[in-house]
Amino acid sequence: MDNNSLLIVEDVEKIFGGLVAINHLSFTIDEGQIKSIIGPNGAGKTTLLNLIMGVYSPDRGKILFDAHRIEKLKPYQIASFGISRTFQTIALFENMSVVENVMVGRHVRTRSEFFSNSFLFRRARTEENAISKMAWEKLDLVGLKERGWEPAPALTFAEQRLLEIARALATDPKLLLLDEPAAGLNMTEIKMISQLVQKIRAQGVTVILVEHQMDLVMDISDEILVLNYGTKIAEGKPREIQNNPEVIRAYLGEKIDIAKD
Amino acid sequence: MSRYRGVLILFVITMIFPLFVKSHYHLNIMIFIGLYTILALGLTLLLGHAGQVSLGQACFYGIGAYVSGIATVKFGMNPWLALPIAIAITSILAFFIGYSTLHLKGLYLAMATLGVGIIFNILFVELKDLTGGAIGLMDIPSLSIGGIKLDTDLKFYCFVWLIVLFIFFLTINLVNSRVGRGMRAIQGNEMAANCIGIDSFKYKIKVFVLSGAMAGLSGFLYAHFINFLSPSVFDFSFSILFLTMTIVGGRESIWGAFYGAALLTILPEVLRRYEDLNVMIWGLILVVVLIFFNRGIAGGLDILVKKLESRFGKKGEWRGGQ
Amino acid sequence: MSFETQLLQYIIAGLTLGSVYAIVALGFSMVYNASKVINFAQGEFVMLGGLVTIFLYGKIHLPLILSMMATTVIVTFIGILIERFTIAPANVGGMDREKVVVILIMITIGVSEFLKGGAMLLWGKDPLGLPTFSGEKPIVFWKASFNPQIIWVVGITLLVVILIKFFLSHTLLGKAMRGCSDNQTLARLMGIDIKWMSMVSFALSAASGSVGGILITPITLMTFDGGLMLGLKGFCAGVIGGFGNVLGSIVGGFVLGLLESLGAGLISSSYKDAIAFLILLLILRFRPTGILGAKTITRT
Repeated sequence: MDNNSLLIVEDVEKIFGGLVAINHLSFTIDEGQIKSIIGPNGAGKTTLLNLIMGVYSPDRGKILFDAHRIEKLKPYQIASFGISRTFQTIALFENMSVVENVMVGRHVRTRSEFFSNSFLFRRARTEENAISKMAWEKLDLVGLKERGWEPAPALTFAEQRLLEIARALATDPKLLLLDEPAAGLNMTEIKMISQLVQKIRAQGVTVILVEHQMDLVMDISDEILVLNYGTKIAEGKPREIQNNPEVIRAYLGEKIDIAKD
Repeated sequence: MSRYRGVLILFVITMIFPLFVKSHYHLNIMIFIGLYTILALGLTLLLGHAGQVSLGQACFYGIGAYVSGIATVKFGMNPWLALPIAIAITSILAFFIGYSTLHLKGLYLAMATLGVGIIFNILFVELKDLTGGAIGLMDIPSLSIGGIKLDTDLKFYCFVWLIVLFIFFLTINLVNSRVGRGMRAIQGNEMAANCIGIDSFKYKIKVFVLSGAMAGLSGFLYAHFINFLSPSVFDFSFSILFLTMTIVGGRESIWGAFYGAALLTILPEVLRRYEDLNVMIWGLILVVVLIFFNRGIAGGLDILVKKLESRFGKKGEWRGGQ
Repeated sequence: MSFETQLLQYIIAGLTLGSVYAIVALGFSMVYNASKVINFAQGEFVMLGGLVTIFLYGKIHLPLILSMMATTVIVTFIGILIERFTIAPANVGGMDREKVVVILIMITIGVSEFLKGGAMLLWGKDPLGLPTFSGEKPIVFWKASFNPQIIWVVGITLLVVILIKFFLSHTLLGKAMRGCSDNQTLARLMGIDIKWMSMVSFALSAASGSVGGILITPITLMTFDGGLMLGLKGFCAGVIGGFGNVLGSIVGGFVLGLLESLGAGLISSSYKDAIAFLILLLILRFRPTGILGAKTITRT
């Protein structure tokens, strides 16, 4: 086991009713990596993210993050350990403004409670200033600073995706799980996402990227994990994956296609 | 500090009011609006911010009133000593109920508060030795602060409204803080809130306890104002009334608590002549508001303000929960 | 009166009461299954069943049986109106299912208040009664005497239950309703019209509720606010038996009726009303799925 492994998924299994969603899956993620998880629809990618995030807990197996066992923990506990995520279908807080959404992200790193906030104790006020500052920084990073005070639903679809990322970043994660951030975006917007993810990694955040957009995946991934029917069918560098016949077959059925160069 | 603008306006209005209006009747109404605002504020936080329904606020109101009433009448306790006890009891009860039901679907809190409310109402009637039963608990002493006895409408009016304004101050701070955002996040998308690091269960319990405590405080004030308690004031229909206040006023806005309390205290007085229609009108208002004016009075005002702002080109800062 | 006789009286009273609770619980179940709504106005259907019959029989002087049938039709119609005008419009909009349910519950509370207020205007505050169906002469059974109406109550309740069970298991419409309760999304995909199901469930629960009111009024009389407690306790019965479960409603109804009657008789009658809610709290605490186990109640 590599000392650098930030996340270790070991022999994890998840069954819903009679359906095996994740089948004896094992892999690791090293610190500072961008690792993509790809696979046909229904392969279990989002389920995997949910398992890591604690939304589900595995029926079998272990998940270790930073040497802590996290597979039985609740999502808010896992967030405090340093994992955060975005969602495939946008899960913004529509009842709050853009900047407030990001400020909520700061929640897990702050502590002032009902009493100190109601009575405006110094501790609460200082913390609030810090939250605000950090939130605007994250908005600046994703390019949404101008829209900070608007209601979250007022943003365009692409902007909402960026906002989700900003919010996830506000938790100061060591590991960021991105669930199909490029879905529904046009080429320019995807380029923006690509640059953003690389900027994020440059700041020291490890990234798991679940995606369908192959250009994006091939472009920025250090490693790719391929799932089909909840099982790992391939894992390796982008080049290797591109040329892997198993992978091609999984995506295209039995038709063999000529791999892109 | 623009966020306190509303409180300041309310402060001015309520302090000027008795200069122009001296009648006991009107002061009384305003006092009740104040009492109900406190209660409705707690319920607004619960309903509009944490998204939970309680059908038993009248129960906490009653417990706050009876605990202090009994302590002062039967045990000769100083009411200021009875106050923390009353709040403690309502809080503990709320904690129990919340802890048992808030991890289940929202419906279960509603049912549990319904059940507890009815049980306590029956207790208020049956424990005659303590509560005076259906006849009521009498001769509850008025409050005194530093030698001044709050035994006139005017004195109590000032006292209550200073408390209400202070509570508004605290609540505005709370709603604009990390805690307020946390609650609204749970209301907005609970699963996402959890993934972002918010323990929604713990929050819901805290908000519920807070709403119970505020209702208890309101009950305490009521008992020492009217100096008499009767169980009929704390039954299920009052819980519905409080819920209606919160909804009609606008459950997502803390000012909604005031609007709702004001409207639903004044309305029955205005409709005195048609007293028999009272119940029907409640029902109708509640249904109509829920279907057509989901955001209540506060929401309506909000839309109005936005229209005016955009008409005059001012781009405001948009915050949830105001 | 010997203890056994007393006990028997309590049991019989409990079964009678239990029947009404069972019918109310059944109404709750049906509506909940079809639309996930808790219809707080359920008790008002019972109240209207009694009072409308009194009106038709007492004021308009229709023959009793005709009054009862007409009442059932009228109350069913009211149920449909409620569903169409208050539930259906609120159901639209892309809101989170659970939040909509909270709003819908509050709407039904509003409807219940409205009906209650209307009843007070129309019928006043005094309790009103109906003649028993088969005369006044009490039946003596093992030295316990009881009102023959009781046989009607329990008998017709069981009949209603059997009919509804049959409807749900053997008719196309009924099976569609069950499909709705199991999995709404799937049902929609299969072409089942959820809105129609919602309306049918309201109609059925209004009809059965009114029957319950008609049955019980000759014994206990009916007031404009009688529906509230019956509705709430019927709800408790539903939770006790297993919410959303048809058989559970019946079991819960009879269990609650018996416990309430025995408790009132043997322990204390002034706390009678509290019994139902105490049991409710206990069940919520220790076995939220109820005796026969309800469907999905917890969140993940």
